[in-house]
Amino acid sequence: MTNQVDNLPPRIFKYADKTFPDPGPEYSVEQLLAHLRTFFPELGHAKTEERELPDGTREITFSKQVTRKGALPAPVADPAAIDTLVTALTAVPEYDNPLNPVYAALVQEIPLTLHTLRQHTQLLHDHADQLHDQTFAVNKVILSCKRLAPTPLLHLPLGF
Amino acid sequence: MQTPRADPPAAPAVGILDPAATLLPSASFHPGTSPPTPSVIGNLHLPLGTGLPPFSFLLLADRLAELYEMVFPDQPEWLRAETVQWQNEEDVAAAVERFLQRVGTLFPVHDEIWDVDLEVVEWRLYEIPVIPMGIDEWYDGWDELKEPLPYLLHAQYSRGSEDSPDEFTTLYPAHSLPRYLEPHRLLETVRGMDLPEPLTALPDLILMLNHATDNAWIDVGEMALAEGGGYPQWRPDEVAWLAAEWQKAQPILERIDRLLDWQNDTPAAIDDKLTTVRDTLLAAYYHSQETAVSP
Repeated sequence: MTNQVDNLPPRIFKYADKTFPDPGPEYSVEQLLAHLRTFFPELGHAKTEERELPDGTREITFSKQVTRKGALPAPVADPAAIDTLVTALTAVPEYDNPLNPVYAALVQEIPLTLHTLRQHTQLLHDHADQLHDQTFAVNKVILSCKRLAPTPLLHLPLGF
Repeated sequence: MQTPRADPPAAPAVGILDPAATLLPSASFHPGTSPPTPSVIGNLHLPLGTGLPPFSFLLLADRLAELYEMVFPDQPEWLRAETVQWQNEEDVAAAVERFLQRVGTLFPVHDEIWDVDLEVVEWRLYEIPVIPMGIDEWYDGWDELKEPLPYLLHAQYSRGSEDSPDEFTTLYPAHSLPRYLEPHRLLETVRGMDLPEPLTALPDLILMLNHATDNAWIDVGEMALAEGGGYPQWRPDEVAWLAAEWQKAQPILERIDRLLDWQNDTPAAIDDKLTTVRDTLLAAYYHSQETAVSP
């Protein structure tokens, strides 16, 4: 039994002098264009033309939109969830090891013995709790990210 | 070597349209600059260059120190002498072993750590790895035990019914006992008999087999404890109780050991021992029968 996807005609994608094979019928033309923008940012407002070749293949051609100087910019889409995430992550302060105060105190006690360590028990456990909370928070972020639906990026995030 | 450009040109080749490339996790892109993953945070905060152990070791050291204070409040010098320069799990295990060896002067504990795994070591700092001395009658090979332990075990568990063969009589044809003689019902009578040393331990041994001495060290077997998982916790009252109970258990176990080691060198000596035990039980049995029928 064949499904609807299997019955779709083959496709070929073109941009400038480059030709790209069809990655699979499960990806829409818009998704592919979005993916290509990662490598060819000038396709930000690309025009899409489509025609059928004699063998039945659909040829999809992307081309740059030529804009007139002084023209109003194209309407900007709402920031995608990934952009929001990138913005939020960029705003995160630099990592500060919660154990630094522990080691700062203990390094004064070298050679450390059980007796001297015991005098810093409260400090040790307070920061162990902080570390635990931090680990828990990081795990929570990771789990949340894992639950995000896969989305092709419009742009490679800065620093990747 | 080619220096990577800040803005590497896209390579228009087969595969560029593979969305999976964009959707792959990015952690491996720059392994040298990746932030620590959560599993690493707690375990490997290595304070490089300080000579201090990793944080997870410090937490164990603190727990060990707490136990020293709890179990040996009068030995603060042990806390001062124990340095925490642990750089690997073997060092941690060695320090815990030293502590357990000291606990071993109070009562029996496993003081050797064979599996040097941090979780295994940590377990010993939360549950007391006691070595109970009781019989695991369903685990131990009875033939490996010293007489009269197997004799008494078979007398209790291998009698069968009137219609089935009596395994006990088959095993001990020269030392048979009446089918309905139950050693643990004769305890008071045996205690009242004027028995020579080391036969005076016979009631203790019978109680031990029945897990009824009322002393945990003697009533609980090691396998039963491991299977039940009821290891005692490190608490001051628990430690004090275990030490006190061990003081009571020691003379009983020594008496029992003397009985088990007595006349144990040759088959003839063992035979004589069994004869003595059988005669004692028979005497107690008939005495109790007489007492039961007398007005």
